[in-house]
Amino acid sequence: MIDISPDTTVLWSWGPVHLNLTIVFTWLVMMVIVLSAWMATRNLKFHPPLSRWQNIFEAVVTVIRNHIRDILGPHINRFLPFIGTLFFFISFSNLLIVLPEYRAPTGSLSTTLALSICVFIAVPAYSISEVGFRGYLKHFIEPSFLMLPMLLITEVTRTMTLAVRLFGNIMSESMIAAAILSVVPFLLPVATEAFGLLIGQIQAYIFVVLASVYIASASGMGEIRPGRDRAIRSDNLSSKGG
Amino acid sequence: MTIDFFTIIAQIFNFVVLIMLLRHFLYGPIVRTMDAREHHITTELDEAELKNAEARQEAAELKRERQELEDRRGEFLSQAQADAEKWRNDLLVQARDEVEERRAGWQDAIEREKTGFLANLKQRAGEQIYEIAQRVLGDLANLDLERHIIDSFIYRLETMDDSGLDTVAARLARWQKMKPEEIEATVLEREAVISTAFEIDAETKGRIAAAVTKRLGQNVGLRFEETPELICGIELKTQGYKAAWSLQNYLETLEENLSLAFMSREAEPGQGTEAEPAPGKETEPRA
Repeated sequence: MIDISPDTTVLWSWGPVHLNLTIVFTWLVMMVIVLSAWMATRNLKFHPPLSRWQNIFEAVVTVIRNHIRDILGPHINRFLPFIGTLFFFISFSNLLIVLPEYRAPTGSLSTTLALSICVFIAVPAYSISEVGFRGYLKHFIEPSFLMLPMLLITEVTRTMTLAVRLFGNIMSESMIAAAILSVVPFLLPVATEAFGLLIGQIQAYIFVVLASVYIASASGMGEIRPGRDRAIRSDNLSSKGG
Repeated sequence: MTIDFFTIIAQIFNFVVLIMLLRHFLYGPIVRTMDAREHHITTELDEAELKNAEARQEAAELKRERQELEDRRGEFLSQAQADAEKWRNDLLVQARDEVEERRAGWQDAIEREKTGFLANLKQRAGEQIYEIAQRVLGDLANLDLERHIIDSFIYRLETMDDSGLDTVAARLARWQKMKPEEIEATVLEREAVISTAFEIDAETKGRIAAAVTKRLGQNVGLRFEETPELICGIELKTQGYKAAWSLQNYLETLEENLSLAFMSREAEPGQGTEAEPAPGKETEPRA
């Protein structure tokens, strides 16, 4: 029987507290991310040539910032820690599948649900800070009061879909890889692993985009954002270009 | 597909911890660096644009100044050309004046030299002619030239048809009616001076006096004197009238001919020797 979730492998327990593979590999991922970040930022250079790690992280952070600017507007640094950490965590979790005996934490529904809960909490938190509590509540009855039940259900279901989508993709990829490995032990698993890497990055991007869109829609920023963002971007470009 | 609530809580906690760690180790430093670099680039772009604008302005200013310099250079060149032309003209005028002045000086010197040469030539020619004529006449007739000169003078005085001489004779006739004491008072007015270049004896003086008295009347007073400048001649002067026979006239004619010869040589350089006047003309004595 294939063990589909690392949650089931408990390494240590003490009452309700237990240490399973999901938490252990999460710590591993966290260590790798923090170590990489520390290596990139321990000797930051202002002028080129930049170190390899600084170059990679600056490129990724720049992409995330541009993504935030496109969807959430000009307050980039406000959303960057949350959105960026979501991306780095999911991305690194899925990248490390190349390690032997490694089980991606994102292949655990508990992990993806935890991330979805974080998004579920972050959406009203950012929305309230942006448009106030009444503004946040107001969007539930727009355009009509009749929309309230449906919107409440949407809030819950989209959180669930966020969790299940990520879990399903990663878990299924692991299942497929295990199945293929059992049938064709040579060559084909390599291609499957490479495909799994690509799927993992795509899922990280999808998760981040959906989380950004949820925050934007809850705070009403998504309705007016595109035009304003373009104006802001054009202003920035024009100010840079002189 | 199991859901472990402890794992969920633990993962939420882990995620929050990761956010804080990345905020400290990644986002803060890297965003500050990127923003600072972006700000630096923007500032540099602004400064570059500012410097570019300044450079354009300076270039325009330099272009304008260069144009002004070009214009001023043209003016200076025109002024310098005009000054040089004026200076050249002044120098030409000055040189021409100097040449003219030197030429005038040379001509004066030549004129003085020519005059001195002619005077000298006249003196020498007269002496030579006198000597030659005296020798020739002496050889031919065995007479002395002075006697022939005097004879010729007496002959001309007697035969000469001259209204001036008649006027003098008529004027002297007025004194025939005057008293002797009155005539005495006018002795200077009545005086006729016979000038000769040589000394003459008493007999000759008597012949001359007879001829003069015959021509001018009894009232004329005669006085003889020697004048070497006459050069072999004899001259009668009275009351503003003069009758003479001497080589002086010949020499004056010779002098005129020589002057003409000099002038023709000046006019035609290299051909002066062929412009000599024909001999034999104007050699007659004038009385």
